[in-house]
Amino acid sequence: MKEQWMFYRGNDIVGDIYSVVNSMGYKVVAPIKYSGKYHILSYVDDPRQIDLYYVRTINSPKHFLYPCNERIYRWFMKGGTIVFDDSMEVSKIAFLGIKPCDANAIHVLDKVLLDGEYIDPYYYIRRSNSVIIVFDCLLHDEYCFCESVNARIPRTYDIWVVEENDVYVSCKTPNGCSIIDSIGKDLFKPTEKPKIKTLDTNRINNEALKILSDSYDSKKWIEWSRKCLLCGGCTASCPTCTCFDVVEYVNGLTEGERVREWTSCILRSFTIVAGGRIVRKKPDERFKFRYYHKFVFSINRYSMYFCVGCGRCSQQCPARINMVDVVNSFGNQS
Amino acid sequence: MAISLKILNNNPYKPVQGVIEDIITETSDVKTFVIRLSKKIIFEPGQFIMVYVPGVGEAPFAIASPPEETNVVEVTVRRVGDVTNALHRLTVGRIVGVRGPFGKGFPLKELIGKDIVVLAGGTGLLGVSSLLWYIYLNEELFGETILLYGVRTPHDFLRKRDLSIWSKRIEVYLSVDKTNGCRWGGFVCLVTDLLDIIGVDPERTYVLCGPPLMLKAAYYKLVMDNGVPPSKIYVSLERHMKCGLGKCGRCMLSNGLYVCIDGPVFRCDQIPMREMM
Repeated sequence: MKEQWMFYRGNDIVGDIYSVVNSMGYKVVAPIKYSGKYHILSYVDDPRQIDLYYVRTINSPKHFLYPCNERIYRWFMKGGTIVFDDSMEVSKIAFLGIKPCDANAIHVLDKVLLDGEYIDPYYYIRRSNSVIIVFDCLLHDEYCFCESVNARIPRTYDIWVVEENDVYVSCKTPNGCSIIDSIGKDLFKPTEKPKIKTLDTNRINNEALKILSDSYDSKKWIEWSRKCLLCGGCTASCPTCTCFDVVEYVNGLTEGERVREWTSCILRSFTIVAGGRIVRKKPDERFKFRYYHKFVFSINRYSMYFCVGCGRCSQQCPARINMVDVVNSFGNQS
Repeated sequence: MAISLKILNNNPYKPVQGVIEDIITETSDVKTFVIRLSKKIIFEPGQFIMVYVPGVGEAPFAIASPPEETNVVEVTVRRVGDVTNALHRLTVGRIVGVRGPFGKGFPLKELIGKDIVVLAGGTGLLGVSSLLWYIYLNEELFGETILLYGVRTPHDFLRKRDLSIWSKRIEVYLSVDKTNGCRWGGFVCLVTDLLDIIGVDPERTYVLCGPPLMLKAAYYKLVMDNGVPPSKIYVSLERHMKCGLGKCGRCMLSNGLYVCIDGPVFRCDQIPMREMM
């Protein structure tokens, strides 16, 4: 569906959208003030809790669409046979007020989990029961680099609200447009697409990104990996990282469940194979793997970056390793 | 009120039931499990299945039986980790879960009509067993086929009954690293030394499966010493994996290919050399 732009004539776009999606049976997930300067995405039951004046939330939509612990099936023995029960509970979720970068992160999840030979059914059900309402970026900081990775404009959304002096609203899916219609057709007037302001977050040197694919054996990776604590915080905070582990929880000998949990390519155990051999044993091999997955492999397979420039990994890194600095360090070596 | 219960259709994460029909002891730490599945599967040479031991976990295994539409598959398993140890403790009649088959397997289109040398070390034989069965059953499609198979000691040969069947139509050379005082009339050398014994011909196609050290030695011998183009060498790789669907990321190689959906068989010019070592 093509995007349709409208000019909003009411005076509380957040409240209007909230009451419609709420009445449609969606649980609303929105940014709220957590403590100090931090914001998180959380379930809200009052639109007044929502605070759109934030840089980034600590968690990301991934936490709701692709939870860090998710049962994939329950098994139990019944009359000499085994039963695998893979039914799951789903609630309808409306993301209200997420940023363009996080909407693009959902687009990346869609690519990994829904594209290709196999569809991930757990993600598919959550995703198809969700609605994405993007509010354009109001605040950004020194860690943001969305414009370097083509993530300034949301690639996937149901509704996109751009607030400048006036409020512009775009809907791109039947679901999104029906929400607009339910708010009241008289409140919206069709208009041209507004000018989307640049955020000046183009912090990565384009040359460096291109050189990256030929720099796998560079010694710089060893230098960078010496700073790294290999804690896996970057992958846990990343809105696009999808790698998982499956663990077993048993209850006696006749029943149990299998649960998938996020894991990280930075961790030593990630590539362990039969007999205890670790394929990527050296810290630098594990450190650079994430960069190659985000910036090189993703381009080869999906023609897009798997990084959306949200800056979460750089902001929370205990060793103060900034993704922008790491990539840029490869641009200066020519 | 907003919560609803969903039943998933065609869930690729959900196993089918398999019953262990027979267990054959191959060596002191290797057993073959004959598993009867509750539904038929079709698989191609080189594909693998995920076997789930309830309460313990799941691991990928190459299917070692002949590739055909069947509901009985054989996996030969060495006892090394949690899942394989648990499998070894199971008895006939016990229940496991099976998912698959997964993976691309051997590119038969590229192999048909070629003279093929299969080089297998230790449990690496299992990665190429289904291919050897395919060649045995479709002999007229292939040129001359040679199997070079090496193990540590004469006690360690796997699937001996298959070896004797294949040897009717496939030239089989066996070697052991050391005899350990056993009576052994065959070659005592590294499996890669068998390549020198038959002579490396760059016109042939080579298929490798085995431990990383063997792959490395074979690759050097073939490519560096004898000028075999990497595009004529195929290798079946082993990686840890959780899903087999290209989602969990565990088996991704350092060039972005997944062993589970793009492999496990790769042509050597498709993957960086470091992945074989």
